[in-house]
Amino acid sequence: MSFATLLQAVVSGLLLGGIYALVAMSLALVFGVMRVLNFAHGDLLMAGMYGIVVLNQAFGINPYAAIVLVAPVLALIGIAVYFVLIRRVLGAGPLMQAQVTLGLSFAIQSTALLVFGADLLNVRTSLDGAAFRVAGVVIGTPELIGFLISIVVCAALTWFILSTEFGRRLRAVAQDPTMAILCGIPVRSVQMMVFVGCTALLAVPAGCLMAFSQLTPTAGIQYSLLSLMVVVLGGLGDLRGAFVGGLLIGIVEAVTSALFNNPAAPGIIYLVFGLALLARPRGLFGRGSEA
Amino acid sequence: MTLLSVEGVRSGYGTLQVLSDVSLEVAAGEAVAILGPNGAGKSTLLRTISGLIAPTAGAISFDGRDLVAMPAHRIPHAGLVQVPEARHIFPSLTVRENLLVGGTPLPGRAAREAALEDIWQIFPMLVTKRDAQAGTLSGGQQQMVAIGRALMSKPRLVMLDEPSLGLAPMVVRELYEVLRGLVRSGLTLLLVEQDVPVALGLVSRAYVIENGAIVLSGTADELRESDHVRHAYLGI
Repeated sequence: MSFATLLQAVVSGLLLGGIYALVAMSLALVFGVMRVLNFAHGDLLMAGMYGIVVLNQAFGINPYAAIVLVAPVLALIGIAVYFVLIRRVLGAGPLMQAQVTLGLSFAIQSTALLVFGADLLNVRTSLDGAAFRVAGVVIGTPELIGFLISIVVCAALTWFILSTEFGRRLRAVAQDPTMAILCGIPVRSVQMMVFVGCTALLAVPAGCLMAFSQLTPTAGIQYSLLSLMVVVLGGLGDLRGAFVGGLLIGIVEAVTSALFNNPAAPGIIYLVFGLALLARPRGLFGRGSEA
Repeated sequence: MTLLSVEGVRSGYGTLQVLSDVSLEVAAGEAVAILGPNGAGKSTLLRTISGLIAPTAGAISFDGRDLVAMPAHRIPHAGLVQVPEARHIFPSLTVRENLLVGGTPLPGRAAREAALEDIWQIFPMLVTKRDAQAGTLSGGQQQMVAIGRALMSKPRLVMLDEPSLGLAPMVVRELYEVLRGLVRSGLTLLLVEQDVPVALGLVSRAYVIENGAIVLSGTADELRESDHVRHAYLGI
C-alpha cells in the first residue's frame, strides 16, 4: 500500500472518528453517571437517523437542520426508556442491565424493520458527493462538516460538564452517588436528565452520519458495538478517553479496510481492540473502571 | 429546644438488624457525642438519621419535621448534614468544587460564593489548595474539605462520623481545635467518635451505644466518672 493510500485512509478515518467520538462520549457519560452500560445506545442513534430520513423524504429538510427537530423527539424517547426500563435496573447487576438494554436494542431494530423495511435508505442533499482535494487527499464535504459539528459539540459538552453548576453536580454523582445525596443533590433526577440529554444529543451524530451514509435496521447494532468498544478502550466512564478512543477507532477502521480489501477487515478492529485492552485494562488513560 | 429527636428507632441492612431500640435527643446549640465500640451501630444510626437507610420502627424528627418521610437528598435542605466516615470527598473535583457541591441547598450562586468565603476563614490552610484535586490532599486536609463541604450549606446540625479516623494525633488536635471554635460559635454537633477522651473533651453530653442500643447517657463529666466508661473506653 502506498503512502498516499494510507494518508487518505487516516484522514477519512479521522473524519468519521470525530462523529464516533461524540457517540461514545454520550455513552460514556451515561455509564459514568448511572453505571449502566447501554447496549441500545447505537439503536437510539439509529432511531434518530430514521427520524432524519423521514424529515428529509417527507419535507425535504436538510439533515443538519433536521437535527434540531429530531433532538426533542429523541428526548421524549429517552424519557420513556428511562422510566419504563432504565430506572428499574439502576444499581442492579450488570447482567440484568445488559439483558434489559439488549432487549431494547432488538425491539428498536425490529420496529425499524417493520416500519421501514430492510431497504437501504439515504437522504438527498445539495452536497451529495461533494469533495475537494488537499495535498492529494480527497476530503468529502459532508464528512468534513459532520466532523466539525461533532468536534464543536464534544467541546461544548466538555465545557458544560467542567464549568457549569449542573456539570459539577453531575461529576459529584458520577464519583460518589451516596455522598452526592448527603450533599442534597437529587441523584435520581440528575441521572434521569443525563440519560435524556445524552439520548437527545444523539440527534447530532444522526444528522451528521445521514448526510453521507446509508441506513438499514441493523445499523444500530454496529454503532452500539463500535461505541461500546470506544468507551471500553477509553476507560469506562472516562470522557477524554472516549473522545480519543472514538478518533482512534475511526482511523483503525479506515486503515484496516484500506490495508485488507476484503470482508474480514472489520474483524481486525476487534483484534486491535483486544490487544489494546490487554495492554491497558483501565483504558487509554488508565482512569476508567476495570473492563 | 430539641432540634433532633430519635425515638425507639430500629434499623439495619436487609434482614440484619443493627439498631434494636435507640432514642436520643440533641438540643439546638448543643454538642453531643455517641460513643461505643466498633460494630455497635453508630454509623448505622447516622445513616438512618440521614435517610440513607429506612428505619423499620421508630420516629426521627428534626426541627419538628418528620425525617423518615423525607427523601434523603431533601434532608440537607432542611438543615441537617452528615460528614460520613472516611470523609468521602469527591477525589477528582477540586477543593473549591467540593465545597460548592456542599452548598447545593443554598438558594443561588451568590449565596454559595459568600459561604465559600466563610469556609476559607475557618480553614485558611485550604485557600492555597483551592484549585487542587481534592484526592491529592493529605488525610487531614481532606477531612477539612469534608467538614467545610458540610458547613457550606449553613446547616443547623452537623453529624460527624469518626473525624479522627486515620489521622496523626497532631492533626486530630488541630481539627478538634477548629471544632471547638465552631461549637463555641453556636454550631449544633452530633459526633460519633472512637477516641473517647478526645470526644468527651469537646461535647457537653454523650450517649454510649452497645449492641445496637443505648446503654448509658449523661454529661461528659458524669461519663468520665462512670465505672463502665472508665473500664471499657478509657482503659483506667
